[in-house]
Amino acid sequence: MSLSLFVQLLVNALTIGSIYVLMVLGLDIILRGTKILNFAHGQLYMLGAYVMFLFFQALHWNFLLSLALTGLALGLVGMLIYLGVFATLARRFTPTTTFSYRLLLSAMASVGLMMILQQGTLLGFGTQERGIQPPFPQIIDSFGVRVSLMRLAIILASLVICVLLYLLMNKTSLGRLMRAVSYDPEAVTLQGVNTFWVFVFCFALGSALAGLAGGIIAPVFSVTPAMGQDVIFLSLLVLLVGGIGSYRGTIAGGLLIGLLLSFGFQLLGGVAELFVFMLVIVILIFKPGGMLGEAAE
Amino acid sequence: MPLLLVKNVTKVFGALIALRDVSFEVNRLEILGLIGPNGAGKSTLFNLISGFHRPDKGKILFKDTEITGLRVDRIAGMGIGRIFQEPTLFMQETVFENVFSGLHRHYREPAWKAFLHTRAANREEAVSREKAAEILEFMDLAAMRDELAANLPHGHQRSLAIAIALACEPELLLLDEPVTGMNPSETAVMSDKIRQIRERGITVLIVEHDMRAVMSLCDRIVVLNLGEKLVEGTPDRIKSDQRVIEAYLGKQVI
Amino acid sequence: MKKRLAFITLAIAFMAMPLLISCSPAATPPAPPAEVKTLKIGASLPFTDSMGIDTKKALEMIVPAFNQAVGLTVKGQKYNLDFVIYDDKYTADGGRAAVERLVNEDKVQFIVGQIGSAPIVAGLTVTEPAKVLVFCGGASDKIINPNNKYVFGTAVWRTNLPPLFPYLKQAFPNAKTIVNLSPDDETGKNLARDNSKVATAAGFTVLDSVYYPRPTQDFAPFATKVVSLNPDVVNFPGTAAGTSFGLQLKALYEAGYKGALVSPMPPNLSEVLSVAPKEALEGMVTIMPPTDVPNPSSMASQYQKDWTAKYGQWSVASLQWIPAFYAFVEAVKKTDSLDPGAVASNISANGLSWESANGKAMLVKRPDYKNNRFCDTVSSLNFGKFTNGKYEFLGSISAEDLAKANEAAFDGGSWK
Repeated sequence: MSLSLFVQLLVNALTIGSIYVLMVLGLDIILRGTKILNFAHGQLYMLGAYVMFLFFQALHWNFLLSLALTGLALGLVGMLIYLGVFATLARRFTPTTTFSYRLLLSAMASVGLMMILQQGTLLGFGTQERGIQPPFPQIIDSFGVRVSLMRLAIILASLVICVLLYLLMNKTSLGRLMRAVSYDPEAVTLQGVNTFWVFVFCFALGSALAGLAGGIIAPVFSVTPAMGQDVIFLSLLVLLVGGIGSYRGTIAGGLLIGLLLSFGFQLLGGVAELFVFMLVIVILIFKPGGMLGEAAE
Repeated sequence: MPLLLVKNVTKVFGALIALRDVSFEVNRLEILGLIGPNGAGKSTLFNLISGFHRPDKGKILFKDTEITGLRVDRIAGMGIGRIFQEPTLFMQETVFENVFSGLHRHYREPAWKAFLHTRAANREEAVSREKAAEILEFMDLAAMRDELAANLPHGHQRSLAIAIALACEPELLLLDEPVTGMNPSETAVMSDKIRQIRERGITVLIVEHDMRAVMSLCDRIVVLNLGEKLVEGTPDRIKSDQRVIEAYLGKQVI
Repeated sequence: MKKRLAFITLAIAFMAMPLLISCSPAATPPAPPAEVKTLKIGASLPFTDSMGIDTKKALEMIVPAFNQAVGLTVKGQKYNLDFVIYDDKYTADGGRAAVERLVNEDKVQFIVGQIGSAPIVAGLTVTEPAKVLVFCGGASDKIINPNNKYVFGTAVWRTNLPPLFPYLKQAFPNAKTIVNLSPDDETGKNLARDNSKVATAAGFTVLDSVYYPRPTQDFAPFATKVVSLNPDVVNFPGTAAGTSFGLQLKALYEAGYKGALVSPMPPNLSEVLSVAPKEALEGMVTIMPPTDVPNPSSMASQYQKDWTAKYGQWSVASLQWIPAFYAFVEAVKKTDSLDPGAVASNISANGLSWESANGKAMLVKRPDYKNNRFCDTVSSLNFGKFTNGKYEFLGSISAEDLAKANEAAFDGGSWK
């Protein structure tokens, strides 16, 4: 394998991997913070791409501004979804409702939400496939290595988002509170905190991450109502492989999937995807909690 | 004026009457024991006071304010701390962080201020750190402040749970079986600690199975049986009460 | 308890709503005048794909106009055509479900204008035993299987290849090797195989076929793979004409591919160019839309004018699938009957020719598939090369000549 090919494959792997990292960090924050397995996460990613299209392509705003606003907008959407759907559902629960029943019902509600958002986008925006002209269309071509600048920008931006998220979760009392709530909401309640708004914030933050993932990849992919469908399944796999509740695991899992898809296809051809699923099964057999998840310890 | 007043409280779960018309009061700065055989309704009563459940009839007043049906966090914020039998700790954080976070939440400064490290927030943080250190010292946990909560022995985890509750500066502390499963010397240490907590100005309400500990520790005792209040009074009175002995079917300890 | 039940019912209804919406008939029937009867025609199209939506829009444009202008007259009785269109999701399951509904619930006897191979082939298991007549696009050779009696392929995807590669040779005389980039489904695999056969006959060497799952958005791994095979030409058999094609071209461009491009299906330029830079399309040899040739037919110009007036943005893709409709109309007129059996046996034995905005076309036999029924289609075609963001006209071929070119390329006997 030539150096050029290797670098190209690596950049592709990191691009796709970092999108999955953002997606799965969002899924994980929502799952641990609010105990909702959000199947509509892929549709939030799709909405992120549409909002990015609106701000950047239609209104011609600055790229970074558009991206930041996309994150905010999806955070808001997430908040409304939580208040409108999941909080309403949670109000139906009594103290005797079992945990698994709560998890099941909220997951079912998210499946319904998935279809509503999907069909709503279809009805609202039509099926026309849209593209976003990349703000950095240049191709870096030196020493025989060709790399798209846009893809490098995506990797960098994802890294920045991950660092910001790390600071939020570990260096602020809000982050500490979110972690505490995800560990034991009742104990936090007994410390006099109204955990409801922490749940809302967790859901909004997770949704914002999905929106950022969709918005940031939109200039590389196309914007279609169906784009959220496939990404959710691989994201759930990454969540399982990386381990629920482990940031290191999520990042490792996302990048691993990126590497497998990119190099696997080059070396193995069409069976690469099959290989990914087999790997997931193997990992789950030997490490049921994922590579670095809580249950693994 | 009693600190806590439980008035004619009834709680029904489906066909089961968990509590029927129970009334008692907790006076300021006393240690009150709540005892009774299994299924007497002790846990239900704790859940009603701390707001996890809502009574079907009757009301609960704290400092003359009705708290029946308030949210758990509001009740906690008003000054009622609760410690579960199984300590609820944040296992992946250190002993110090566990207490510090509790303090922090108690003061509720807006998150963005801390994020920007404003001077007020910094000062507040320094005060919180000092306070956390003092509480750890008080609970004899100062030596292990940097241990992960998960790595503590079980007895110390209980102490830590109390430390976290103290961080919220409660006026009333609900303790769920604080000495169950401890050996006599540990029990003595914990009983002593509970008296010291009272000396800090905190009223204590205990549910406990260890009769010897309850009798020596509590100022007064309320006995529940089958969801109803059987009797209340000083330990000496309870010890000799025929109804209590019958309820416990001649348990040797009494 | 009652309240909870009501809540659950409401929640389920909410969840089911999108399903209901997506399945409901797309076209509402206009009230016909008393003396004119209404003839229900079925169609299934992928609403998940811009090609499907554009075809639906095309039907919604040409059918009312046809009803108003001439209408379909059979044995002196005038009929207004009413299309019932369901979403087939471009899948076998979706196709079968849609066709079952059309045949069993709506009782249609004609299905006209399907486009995806997978849904069409799945639908045939319903339409053939029910003796429902099908005029459809789709590239699968299962459509022209000799066991089928009631289905007619009206797209040129099985017959357009023989002249394409000579034009490629003309545009790129030094090109020798080809790699196919295709979706890994029925359409893609059939077309990649046919393309390889014809390209080999035209003197090219096919190095490999690279398959991608149809919903793929990240084509970088596939493009890198193609580039590492170092072909002179990349061919795109079976690729959807919209942004998917654009993303493939863009990925190839970014991976540093500089060779020639050939596409058996004309790209939907507005969508392709919304994701790919103009440079990525440079030098692509393809079938040129009939609207872009130097002297377009009046039917083609009129169609483009009507479309732009009605929908704004022009869509080449919409044009590709309408021959099915004109073939159906001609077939019924020629037989002067609405009995699907009679129509099928008449045109199977005697052939059919028709004209649409897409050009003049006719049915041919497929002796290479041992099918001596007139079942497949040849049409007049134009070829062009994409240069500086525009088509450069290379030449055209008539339906008759296309049939001859195919006879020569696929051995087996006369196609007429």
